[in-house]
Amino acid sequence: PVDHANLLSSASSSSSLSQQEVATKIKQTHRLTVLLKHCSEQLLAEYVRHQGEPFSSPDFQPPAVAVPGLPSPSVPPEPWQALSDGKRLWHLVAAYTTLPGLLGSVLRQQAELNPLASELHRQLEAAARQCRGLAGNLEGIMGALGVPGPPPPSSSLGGPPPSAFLAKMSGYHVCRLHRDWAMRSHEALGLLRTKYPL
Amino acid sequence: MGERDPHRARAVRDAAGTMYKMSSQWSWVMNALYISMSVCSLGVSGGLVQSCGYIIPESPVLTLGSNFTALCILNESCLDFGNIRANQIIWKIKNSVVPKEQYRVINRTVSSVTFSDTSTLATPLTCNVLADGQIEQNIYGIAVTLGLPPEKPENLSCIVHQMSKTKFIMTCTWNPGRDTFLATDFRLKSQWPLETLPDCEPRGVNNSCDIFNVQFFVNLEVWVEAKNALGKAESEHIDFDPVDIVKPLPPHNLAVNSRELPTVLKLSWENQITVVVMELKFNIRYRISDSSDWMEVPPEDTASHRTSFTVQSLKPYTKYVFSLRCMKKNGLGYWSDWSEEKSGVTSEAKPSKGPPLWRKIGISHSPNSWTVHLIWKELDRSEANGIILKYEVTVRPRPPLSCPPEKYSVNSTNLTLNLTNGTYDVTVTAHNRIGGSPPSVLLIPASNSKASVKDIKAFPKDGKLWIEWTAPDNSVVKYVIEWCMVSDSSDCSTEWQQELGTSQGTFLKGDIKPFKCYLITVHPLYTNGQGNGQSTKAYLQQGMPAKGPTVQTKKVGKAEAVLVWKPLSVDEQNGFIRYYTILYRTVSGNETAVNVDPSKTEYTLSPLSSDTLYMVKMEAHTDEGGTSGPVFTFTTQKFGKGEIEAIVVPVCLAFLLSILLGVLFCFNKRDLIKKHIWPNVPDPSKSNIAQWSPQTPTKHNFSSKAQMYPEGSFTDVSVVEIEADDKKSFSEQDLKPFNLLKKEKNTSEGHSSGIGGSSCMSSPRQSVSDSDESESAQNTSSTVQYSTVVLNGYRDQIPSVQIFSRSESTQPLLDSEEKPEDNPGGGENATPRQQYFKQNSSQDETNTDGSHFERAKQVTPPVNEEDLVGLAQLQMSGHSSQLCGSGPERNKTESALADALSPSTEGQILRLETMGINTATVDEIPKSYMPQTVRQGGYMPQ
Repeated sequence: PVDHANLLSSASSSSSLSQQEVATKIKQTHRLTVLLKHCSEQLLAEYVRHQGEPFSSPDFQPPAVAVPGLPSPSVPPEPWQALSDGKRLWHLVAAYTTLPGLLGSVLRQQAELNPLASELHRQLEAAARQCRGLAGNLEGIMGALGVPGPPPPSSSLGGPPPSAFLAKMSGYHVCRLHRDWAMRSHEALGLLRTKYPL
Repeated sequence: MGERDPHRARAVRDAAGTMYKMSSQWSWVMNALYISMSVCSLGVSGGLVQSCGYIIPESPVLTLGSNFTALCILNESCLDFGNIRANQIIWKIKNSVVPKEQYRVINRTVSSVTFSDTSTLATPLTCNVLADGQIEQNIYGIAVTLGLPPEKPENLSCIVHQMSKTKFIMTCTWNPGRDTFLATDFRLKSQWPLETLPDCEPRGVNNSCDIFNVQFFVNLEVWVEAKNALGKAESEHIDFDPVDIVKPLPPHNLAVNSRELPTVLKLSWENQITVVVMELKFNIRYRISDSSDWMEVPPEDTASHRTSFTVQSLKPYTKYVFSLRCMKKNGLGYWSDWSEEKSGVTSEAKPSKGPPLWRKIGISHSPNSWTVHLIWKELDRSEANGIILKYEVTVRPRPPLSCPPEKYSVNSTNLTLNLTNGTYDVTVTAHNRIGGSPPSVLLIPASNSKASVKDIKAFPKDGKLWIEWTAPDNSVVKYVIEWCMVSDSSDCSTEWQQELGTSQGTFLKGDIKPFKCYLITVHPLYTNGQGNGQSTKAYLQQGMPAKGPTVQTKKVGKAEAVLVWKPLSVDEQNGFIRYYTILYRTVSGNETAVNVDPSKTEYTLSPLSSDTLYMVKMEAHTDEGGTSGPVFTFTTQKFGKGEIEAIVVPVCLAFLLSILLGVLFCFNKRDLIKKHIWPNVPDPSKSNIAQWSPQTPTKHNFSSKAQMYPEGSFTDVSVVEIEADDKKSFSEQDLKPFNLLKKEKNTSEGHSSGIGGSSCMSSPRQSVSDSDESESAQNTSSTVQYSTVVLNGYRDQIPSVQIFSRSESTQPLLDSEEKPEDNPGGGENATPRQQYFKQNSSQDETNTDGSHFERAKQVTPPVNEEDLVGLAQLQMSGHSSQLCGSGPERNKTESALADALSPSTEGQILRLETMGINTATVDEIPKSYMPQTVRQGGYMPQ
């Protein structure tokens, strides 16, 4: 069978995308980041709700921890804004190619820790899917804009965590990072959208 | 082997879809069977334990209509043992041998068979040999599966159904194409730009598949791949963002709230799809709760995402039902279903119109006032704008009346007023919680002098009764249409409705029944009065009359009959009677029909045959048909109206004429007849004795009385008549004693007239006049009549007549009897009689003889019939002799009579004596001796 090459699937086809199509793509991706932001907040709340104390207490605010393999979104807003569109996209793609694997690991952990939390499982699964979809969209935009893509992502959360608490903790960090990246991507695409109006 | 074949074939035919694997298993089983059987058979016949050969290809799946070649390869061992060669191979499809032309012997162990069209193939295809040149042995068999490669699936389309707030299912459907007869696998393939997604495998169907993980805002490429043993095909790829093909759930939790304004309602709802997925636009529809027609809020007003909307321009105090639906704001995707319906009621407002107002003028109880029934109708919901709490009625008299206006507050829709004569303005307003309506005004009593409507017509239209009219020239404020059902059984209870002054026609609003007559009246109302009502009658639907008129004859003649009938009652008519048909016929003849105008109630049938039985019936016809009444039969008369008269009258006239002629003849010939019938008998009253008789009346009377009593056998039949005469004669006698003769003659005439009537059948008057005329010659004529009386009396055997005769004649005789000379003459009757005869002629007392004779006659009770006849004959002869005018002859006759009566002569003589003795007393009443005599004679016993 003929393998239909997606026009946006590679940088090589970028030349064939019109300005209009790029703007449409950016708008669509922006809408996706809106959805992602909404869902990531829900996911974090849902995750916390199922982990019990101390996660479910209102003032539970552990310090941000770097997750192995995941670029940290903890770049301050101003430098983030100062980055070029291409660089921001590059960071986003790097993060969103890694996040699905991490979210997948969290889903597996939660399947063991909270096997009855089906809504959480559904949201984790949906989040991973959304991240994959966003990564694809972003790469398409980068290809259209002529921005080189990042290297292939590293693997997931590594070996099994030594304890349930640590597993929950790492899951919490993934969900929170996911939310943070969602906000970042939302900002980035918002900026991009103003530059490529329909 | 044969048993398996049908199953196998069916398996092949069912090959499409998932049955493929099963059929493959079947063919494997079959092959094993064939092999084992062939081994077995060879083992039995040839003692071998292994297969002698095989067919390639093994269990092929073939495209229908393609060509196919199979090879049968024999084992070397079999060649040696059974001396079998490839040229001995026979190919068979099921049990039929494949023609040798399709075989080809490739070498001594291989035989091939070729089919140019696989559709001739069937399972099993077997390779056989003829062992020993005769016995057919099966070597190997294969199952052949026939089918078609899949077609390219067409019309792939997808829709994302929202199942709940967060759950979406994408359903893609396609047209799978023709039946392949093989198990064909359809898969819905999808991929993202950089990622291939898992295939969707249809469950139980081959034309749709549901994807549960729907990711919005990422373009998805989907296509369908169809694959079977003969090949695979792929649909066109479609590329879309799933968010653009969503059919969202309708908004829910719809609420409807009224506001202060009576014309608006606020809707609010919840959307079931989050705004981060999509923004929505809406359709809002609404209707009045008791209507089924939906109205829609303009879509441009609801084209933006929202959770509430205020619907405007609604009617006050009206219940509205709402529902709404949504879709993606940019118009991509699908409309949701309509939401559940919710209703709300707008706030109240003042009534928008005054109630329709009318009146009925009742019977006045006094001349100075009348009763007015004001009636008005409840306002429609749309006009009432709320719950009507009361009506306010104001009655304002117009000059010259000077009473203050009166106000009434009423809960019902009518008001009865007793008003003194005058003109009034009546206004009615309806009030609800918010306020009052504009007033309805009516002028009472409106003079009907204004112009009325013209050309009023009523007819059914669209299943209702339509009334239309031509408006008068003046401007009409409004019309009131009254109508009622005309019926025999009930009063015409009037209903009414009001129409605008601009209208010239309307449907009657009410329960109008078919087959009923409605009387419809249109009143035009002006600002200052009203016009005369114009009426018409109409039916909503006409039918045949319920029955026909009952026809009867009023009069039947010889050639015509007058028919009458009662008009049908209104309830029986069922429509306008257009005409009657009278159908009549004789028993055997053809029926004749006559149409009669419905206004008639009588009809004359003619010409008819006389003396014939006719059957007549009558049909009443409306526009819809006729109904026949009962049959009435009558027979025409034999004779016409004047025919009997025409016969009878002339006959009567002729009869009368003949009688008249006879009478005239009699009259003319009366002298002659007289001579024949009435002999000239001397009148005793004219005898001279009459002049002197008054001298001894008392004596005479007394004696007569004394004489009479013994003669008690007399009847009193004639007493009254005689008395009348008596009085007359009495008075006359008082006045003129000398006229006595004449009067007596009259008396005798009276008697004779009565008697003469019976004898001659002529009127008494005639005879009287006759006697009057012939007064000059009275002496003779009166005597003649007198004698006639006697005769007839005898003939008819009426004693009373005899009494007259006797008494009349007796009186003078008594007078004369006083004379002693007469008394001793008892033994010799003949002598006194002769004397009498003499006296008569000389006006002497001789008539006593006659009386004697008379008495003698009457006294004889046992008078025989024969004797009487003899007497009559004698008298007749006497008359005839009298006609001849010979006195002596008459004497003879008298004596003959006396002879005839002789048997009682002796007794008679005795009585005569006593009478003679009594005469003295009778004579004491001189003036009235005649009548008294008569009276006494009537009672006188002898």
